[in-house]
Amino acid sequence: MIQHMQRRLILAVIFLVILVIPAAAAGVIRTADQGKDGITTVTLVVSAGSFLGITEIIPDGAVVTSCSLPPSQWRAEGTYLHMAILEEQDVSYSFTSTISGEPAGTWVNFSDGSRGSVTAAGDEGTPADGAEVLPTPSSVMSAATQAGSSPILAGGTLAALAYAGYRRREEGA
Amino acid sequence: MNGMRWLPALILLFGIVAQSACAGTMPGDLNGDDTLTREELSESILRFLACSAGDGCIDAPAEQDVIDAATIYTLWGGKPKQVTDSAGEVRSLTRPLHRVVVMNSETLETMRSLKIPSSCVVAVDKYIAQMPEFFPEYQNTPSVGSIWSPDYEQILAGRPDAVFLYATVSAQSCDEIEQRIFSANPDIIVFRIDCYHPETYRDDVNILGGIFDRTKESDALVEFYTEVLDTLAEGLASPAAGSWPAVYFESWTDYKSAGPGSGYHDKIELAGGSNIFADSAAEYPVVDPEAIISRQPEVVVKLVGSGDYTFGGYSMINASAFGPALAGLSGRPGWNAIPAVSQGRVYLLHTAIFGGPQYIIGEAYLARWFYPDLFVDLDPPALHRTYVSRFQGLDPAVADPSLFVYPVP
Repeated sequence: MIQHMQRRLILAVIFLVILVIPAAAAGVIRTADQGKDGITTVTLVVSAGSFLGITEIIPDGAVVTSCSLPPSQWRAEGTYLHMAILEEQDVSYSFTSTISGEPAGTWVNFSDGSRGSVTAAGDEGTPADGAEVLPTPSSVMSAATQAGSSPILAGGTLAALAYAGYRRREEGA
Repeated sequence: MNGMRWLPALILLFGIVAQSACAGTMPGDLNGDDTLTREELSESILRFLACSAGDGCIDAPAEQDVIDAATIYTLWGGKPKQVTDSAGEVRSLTRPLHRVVVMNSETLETMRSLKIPSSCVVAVDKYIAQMPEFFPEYQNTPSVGSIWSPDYEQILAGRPDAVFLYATVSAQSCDEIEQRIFSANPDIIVFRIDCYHPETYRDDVNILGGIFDRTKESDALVEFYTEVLDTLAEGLASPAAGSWPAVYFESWTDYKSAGPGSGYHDKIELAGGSNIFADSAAEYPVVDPEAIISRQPEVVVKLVGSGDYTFGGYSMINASAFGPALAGLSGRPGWNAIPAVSQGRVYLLHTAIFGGPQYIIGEAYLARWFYPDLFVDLDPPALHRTYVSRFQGLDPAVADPSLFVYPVP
């Protein structure tokens, strides 16, 4: 009985680790807050590295009104907002727009050349092509992620498969 | 006339190299004042991003330039890095090295200990190809000949940022290579580093660590050596060491020994051995067989792995030859009167673990042989396995002691 509980505990820990790792690995996470006055405030939390370049594409017709970075570290050109991250851990900017919609963005880490997509809060961990992803516990995780599932779903899939395998072994014994 | 054969190709290659060489300018230093500021790094990043987004690429840097600029800003304080090499020359780096030619295997081995990726090495000396078991990753890397017969065309064809040559070994040949490279392209930095002598090896490691921004790795390697050397020094300083045993050392050439001034002599003393030919005027004397017997060595160490004694080592050639070689050595006429033979203290040591960076492993074996009761905690086979696996990234099985020493501990 105790052994059975230990195994269930191990499975639970594996499940939690799988859920936590992709979130921690996410490079840049965006939170967008659209106010009633037509001003959208965006906060980017940077955990991909110390020296990054981020490009955000804001909705057509939108105009960037402010950015928390020093003026020398950002540049708005058309629908693009380019930002140089020099050890800042978070950045916020605002834009006015008559059209609703969230920005899309990419980042490049100039410490190691890795890159990825800026991900919306709640959708963390979806890498862009070529983005670095932390090693996953098994190919099951990799396959699930490549199939377009979120890491949370992939983690759940792995845990479910692991638990199913465990049950099969137990039942087959 | 021979020296001019390579000149036309050199001139042709100079054009290619001059176009690609960037050692002279610091990436991101937009105003050229040899200082990379926060604003300049920021501007480089923004220009790169704008170009990547299709917003215009005028004056946009390449991604590698931005990565290098970030490294210079964070690790170098935004300034060119000044490095004093083993020859005492101050060399100025204006960007991290990405393409290097390495013309001494000891430096190449040390670079591997510092985890410098092999992709950074664009050409090596011809002897690397003769060590496929130890340098498997460089078997398809272009060869630039040797320091005695360098292939200048191949050196320049590799478009190196830097070339590594010995500092003191064959200094004249290396001086000439350095001068010719400078004449062909002054932007190529030539570093002179030995990675060869025990007394300077740890300094060389630190220099390499500084050049490649691998100080964490160089600190770890230096610590590995220091631990062993401190163990030897402390043991030999203790009263338990007593008087140093008389040692006859012989290279793979029969009756060729070592005298003061030679690396072998220094290494014998480092392990607490008293060289019976310490009074030799020559560094590598060929000694009189009778003199060996009359000087009554308590320990005999014969180096193998070359000449008539080419066996064992990383190539694993004919490992069964160790036993007969030892029997032949101990059975030399009159040697039954030598204490080392009568007491079973005759040993074979492979040159792979006595020359170059691996001298530390050979030293550990010598210390155990010279002082079997003093250095009981010194475990040379374990030390060897640690070196090849932790620092060289090789299978520890290649450090099988039966391939490097005899008798096997």
